[in-house]
Amino acid sequence: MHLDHSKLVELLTDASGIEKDKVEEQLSELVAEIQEAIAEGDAYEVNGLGVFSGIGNNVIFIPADDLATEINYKYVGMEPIELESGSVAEDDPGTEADSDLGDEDDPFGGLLDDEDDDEDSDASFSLDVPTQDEGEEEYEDSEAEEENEAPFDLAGDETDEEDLEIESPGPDKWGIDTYKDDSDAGMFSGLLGDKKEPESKDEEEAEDDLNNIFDDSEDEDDLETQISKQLSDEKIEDSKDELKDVLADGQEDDEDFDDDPFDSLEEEESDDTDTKEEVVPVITNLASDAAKKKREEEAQEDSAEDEDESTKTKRSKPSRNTGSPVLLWVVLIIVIFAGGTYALGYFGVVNIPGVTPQPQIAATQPQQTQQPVEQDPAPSVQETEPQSQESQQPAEPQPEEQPTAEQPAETQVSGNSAAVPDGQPKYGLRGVSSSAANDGYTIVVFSLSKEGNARAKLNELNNYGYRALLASIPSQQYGQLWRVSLGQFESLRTAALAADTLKSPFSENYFITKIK
Amino acid sequence: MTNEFLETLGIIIRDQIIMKNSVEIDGLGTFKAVHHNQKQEKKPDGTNVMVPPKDTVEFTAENKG
Repeated sequence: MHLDHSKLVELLTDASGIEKDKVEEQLSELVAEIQEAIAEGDAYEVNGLGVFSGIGNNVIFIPADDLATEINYKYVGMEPIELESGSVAEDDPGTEADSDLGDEDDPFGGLLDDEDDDEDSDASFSLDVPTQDEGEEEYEDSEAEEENEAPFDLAGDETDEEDLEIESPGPDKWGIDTYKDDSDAGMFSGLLGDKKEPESKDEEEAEDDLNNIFDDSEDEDDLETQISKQLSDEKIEDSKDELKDVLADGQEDDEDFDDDPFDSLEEEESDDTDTKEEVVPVITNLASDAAKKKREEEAQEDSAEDEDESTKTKRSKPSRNTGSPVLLWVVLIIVIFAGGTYALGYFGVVNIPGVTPQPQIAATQPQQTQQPVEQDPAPSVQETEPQSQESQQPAEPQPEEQPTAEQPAETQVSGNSAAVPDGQPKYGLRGVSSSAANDGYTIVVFSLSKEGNARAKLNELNNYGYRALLASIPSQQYGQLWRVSLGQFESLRTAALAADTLKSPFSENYFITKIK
Repeated sequence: MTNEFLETLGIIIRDQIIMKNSVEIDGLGTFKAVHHNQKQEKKPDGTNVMVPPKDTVEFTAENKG
């Protein structure tokens, strides 16, 4: 039915008691104000109704929250029903499910592709560093990556075949590990090289020393020959050998000192070699420093180890000291956890026997059980909602509402006290409602605020031969609502199929919900 | 334009919309109730959910420019 301007004014006049002229005047005033506000680019809010605002030349209306919820009073308490994964495929023969499923396929394909891409990129990335020299082909895009895949395939066939379909973590890990290993190896090779250097320097030093020695010996030989020549020149040939020996001893040192003044020093003090030749001193210096450091470190380690061993052998305190922070944390976590659970139990969030105060439960339980009885004086079969259904429906926030004593539990009132005839199927649209079939779904056709009206509808539907149910829905906002529904169905699908067969008054506005 | 008038207007429009009537205000537009059937929806986490039905108010401006 359409309410035009004149009818609206009529209604306003009746409802407010204001004269018709004034009503029209105020209405046009309101319209003028709204249009003015929108023309200025402002929004205009009417209390209890909503906000008018303009986008471009269009006027849009955003209903107020009150209005939006109040017009939905019929569906109060209805929460999205999570469908079982098994029934998803067969649910709702409509197109939506199909399109959804189609959408479902695509995203997965996209995801798979994405994963592959990620994997590839990861693989290539992980390969980039170990196989390639830095700086040369590092960022040559796809070619480099493709080139990289080949060595990866060769190198890591196992990971490729095994983990390609499963997940990236495997290859990633392996890739990262191998990468790290390689880099570590590289780093270590560098370190080893560094470490080798001192060693080699040590060796070189030793060699140098040896060379020096050899040099010395060569010098000696030279000296010997020279001296022998000089001596021969001086014609002291008789005592040549003796003198040679003596002079060799004496001059050898002198000349050694003159020619290679620091060789002797080096032999005496290996540290004091700064004034030596350029190459050798540096090496020896570094070597000696490194060697020193090494020795110091080794000594420290040894001493530390000794200390450790001694302390370990003496007392196990140090190990306790290292382990104590972890133990402390563990103890702390346990204490916090225990305290938390105790607090939860104490405040009644979780029912822990012996912790949760009993009087509160005793106070709330009778209220919960008594209220439905008071509200349903009619001799009808009542069933409080079984707990198992709550667990089946995680999407429903009903359990939150139940503990509060203000709201009575949602009850399912069977439409009919008549006995269920033999041979009637457990589920169905027609027949007599049976309490055994209250674990299924039903088609709600009426939501009424008065129990009398609801019962009248229930009887009417029963007379039509429908398996009619009446359920009372508690609502803080609208008070008690009475829902009249048709049929008991095993699944959403059967309910939807049955709903399609419903005739005019019911087929226009119904919804399927789980029987409480 | 009194508050009483505005309140009454709001209540009348609400009642009419609940009764599935459309309400026209001259110079402004028409309020209309639209029913959305319950439907299946796929949530981002992969679960299929039967979304309950709901009614909404739709407003059609009288002069769209």
